[in-house]
Amino acid sequence: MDDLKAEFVAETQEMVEALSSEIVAWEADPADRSRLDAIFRFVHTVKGNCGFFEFPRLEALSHAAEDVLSEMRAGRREPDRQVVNAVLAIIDRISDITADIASNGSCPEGDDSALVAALNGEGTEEVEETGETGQLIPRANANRTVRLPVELLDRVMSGVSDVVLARNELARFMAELDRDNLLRGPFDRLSAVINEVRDGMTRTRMLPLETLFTSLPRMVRDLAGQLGKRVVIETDGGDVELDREMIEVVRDPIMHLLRNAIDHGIETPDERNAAGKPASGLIKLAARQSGDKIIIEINDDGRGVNTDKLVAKAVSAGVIDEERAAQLTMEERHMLMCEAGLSTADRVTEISGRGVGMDVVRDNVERIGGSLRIDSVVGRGLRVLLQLPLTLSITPAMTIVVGQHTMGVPHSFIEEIIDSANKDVSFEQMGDAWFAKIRDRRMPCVGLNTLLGIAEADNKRRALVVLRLAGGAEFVLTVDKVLAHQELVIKAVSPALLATGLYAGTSLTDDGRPVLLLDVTGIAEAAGIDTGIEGRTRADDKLQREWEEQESRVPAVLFTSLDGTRKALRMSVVSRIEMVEASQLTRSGGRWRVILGDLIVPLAGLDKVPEDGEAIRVLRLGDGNSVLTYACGDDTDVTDLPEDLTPMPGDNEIEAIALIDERPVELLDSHWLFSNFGEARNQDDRPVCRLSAQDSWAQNFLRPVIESAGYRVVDEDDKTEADVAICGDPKESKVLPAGQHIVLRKEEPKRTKSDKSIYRYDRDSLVAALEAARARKA
Amino acid sequence: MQEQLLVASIAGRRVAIPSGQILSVIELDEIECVPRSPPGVAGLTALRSRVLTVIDCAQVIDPANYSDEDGRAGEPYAVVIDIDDYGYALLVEDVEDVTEPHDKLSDAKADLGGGWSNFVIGVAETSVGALVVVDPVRIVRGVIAGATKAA
Repeated sequence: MDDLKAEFVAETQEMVEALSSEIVAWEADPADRSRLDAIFRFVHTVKGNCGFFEFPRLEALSHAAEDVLSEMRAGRREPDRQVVNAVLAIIDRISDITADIASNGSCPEGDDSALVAALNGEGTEEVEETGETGQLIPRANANRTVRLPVELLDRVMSGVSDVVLARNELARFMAELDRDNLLRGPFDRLSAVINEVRDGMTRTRMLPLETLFTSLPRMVRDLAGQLGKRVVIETDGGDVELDREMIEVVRDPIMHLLRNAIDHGIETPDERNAAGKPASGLIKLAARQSGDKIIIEINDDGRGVNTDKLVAKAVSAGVIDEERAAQLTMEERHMLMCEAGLSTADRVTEISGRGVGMDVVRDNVERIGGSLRIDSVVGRGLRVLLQLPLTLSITPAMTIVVGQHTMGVPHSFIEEIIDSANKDVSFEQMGDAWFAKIRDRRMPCVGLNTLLGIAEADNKRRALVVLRLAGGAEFVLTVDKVLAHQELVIKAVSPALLATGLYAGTSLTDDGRPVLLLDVTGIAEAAGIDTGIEGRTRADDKLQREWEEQESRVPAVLFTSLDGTRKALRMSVVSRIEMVEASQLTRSGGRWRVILGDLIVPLAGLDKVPEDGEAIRVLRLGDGNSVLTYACGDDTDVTDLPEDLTPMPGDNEIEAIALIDERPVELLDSHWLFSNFGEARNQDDRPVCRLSAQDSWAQNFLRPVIESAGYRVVDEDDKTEADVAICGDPKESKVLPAGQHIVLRKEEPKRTKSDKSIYRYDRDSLVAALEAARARKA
Repeated sequence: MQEQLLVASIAGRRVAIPSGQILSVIELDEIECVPRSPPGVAGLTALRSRVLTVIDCAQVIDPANYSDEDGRAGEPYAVVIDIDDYGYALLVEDVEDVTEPHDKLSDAKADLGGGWSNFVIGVAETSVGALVVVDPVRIVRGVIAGATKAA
């Protein structure tokens, strides 16, 4: 909502600025039709835009001006001096109010009736005073954001990449210089600054997923309405940041999955009642960052998918034969949904069509280096997991060597890397084809040297890269050597090379040499490996097991604290790792805090104060409400917690000791951390409104209204003191403590004369009551 | 005023390339060759943070008389152009000068042999004599068309 508001303010201010010359010209010649049109368009746009928010003053002003201007356009009214002044005064007022919204976030109180009256030729004197056209410069403090063309950002971004490359080249020369060479100091500083600039630049490309999520509740509501269903959507993780382009790319797949869930997944209220479920279906959309990936999970509590039906359909459509069908794992059965032309829906609907869609969704997700998994329980619901890379242009890859060439293999395809000398590996030849047997799995084996026509290195030892294609088929690629994991900035490969079908992109190594990124699917095709569902020969249910294992795993972030001990934190509380400079640290009240963007966040685990200019790494932790950071060393790793932990009842800070990689690791007690270091964000001085988390109507319908009225919304479990609570029943006021209670009633007419409750859809009265409460607080 | 021409040699012949399309002329020190690349593609090279596809003009224009040996060594220069946002470096053997044609381009009026006719857009009279003018974009498009057909 705040983003939308900021956009509204920016747009309005831009229009006012653009309009200022028109206004002067119009004032000089009120009969000028094109100026009149421009001004009409402005008030019309403002009116249209602000109706979306709760800005009644703006709406009334622009509406009044629009009426008069359209009279003039129709020739029913002469643009005389007086009315021109009145219109200009209104534009000035709109500009003032917009500036206030920009700085306070809400529409200021005020009386505009004089201005509106002046439009109709009443009370002119007052207007003459304010009706000057020279005051249209927006207030300096109002503009905290700048709108830039994306091309400019991209240009700066590629400039920054050039700088980094030049720096790396310079660093190689620096390495040859003496240890105490005078150039070292300045170079290190330059290098640090360049890193900072690059980080900052990368961040300009990121947007919170919230920008995508805000439009969803409305879409879900409308769609469900059309289908006679009741669906509520819950989103979580809107603050996860994603590359701007990536958000655009995932928009369609997510929309499509939601449509599918509402149309095919969620049952009608009657069906749900019969099945013993609540009448409203629930769709949960959650996003989280996990390492260098973003995981988006879409969960519905609908009827799920009958995989028997799906398999039967696939067999009758000739996608697979019966023998194969009998061997499919649960996940593979679900993935049949993504085969073109298959759909379990018995009827065709206009919402999600029939059989078109899931294959397109999968293709779109895979094109950007992501993957998709589906599982479901019949009668209970369906879950789709999308795994996406953080940015479109940076792909984690493994660099490998064949002959003279260094090439990249996208990390997302790699299952395992193993040395050919390993005793678990054996090779078998069948016909002309080679197979590699790794432990119990036999997979087709492709020599990258042979495929690319490059002589093999003399020594017999080779590295085997096990690759898993999107369709599930696995194969082994042999290469001379596996070099390292690298984040490659991938550029498209030119059409002349794209035609080979072997390369997916180009990139540069640190020292500026071009590297090719292999197109794994293309390689498999060139080697004659079946990439479709027919290729899924594995009869075991390894994947299913993996899936279940993943469920029971508790991932943790492993790190060395500044005092040198190995510590771990549960992954769920860690949001990311940040580099901070000593200058970002402040000490007050006996505690360290770190400045991150516009937040001052408590810092724990700082045993050693860094020197000026030194940078340290901190883990950024969040419990959904407050944020804190924990200082850590350079070596962070992600691991799964072992099942047997030794609890440490005597120690508050340490929850348990775990043995990981045969070394003891202290698992920090997240609860203790937050109760000791956590602070509610104190820069938030918005009034607080308490809403019941149990009441989904309140959460979905009311919450946006309350938030747009400038309130922060908390629930009954939150310890924050609330200024106002909104209850559906006077009895609820005990569970929802607050300075004041607003009671909503479900039916329109008042029960009794003394009834102070507000009808739940009487938005104006509700907003007025909230405004009144806010005024009282101030 | 006519568009200026860059005088260079391709496959041992002196040619002119319209300067308007040329982003820069670079000296190539290293080419990363690309396995299984289509005919005409010599490999990749990096120009600052850009990866350029290197096109071997001699192989494209006169494949019949082309042999691998006659030397990338003799082709240290490349003409950099942009087509549809992709960068290409076209290998040329020698870069002499930039000159201005005396008049508009005239037709070649004869079959120039090899593949020349496909890439020549005319003949220019210049202070260094008559030169065939080749279109670098046509050369690259020729490579792409060949590669797509083979695939």
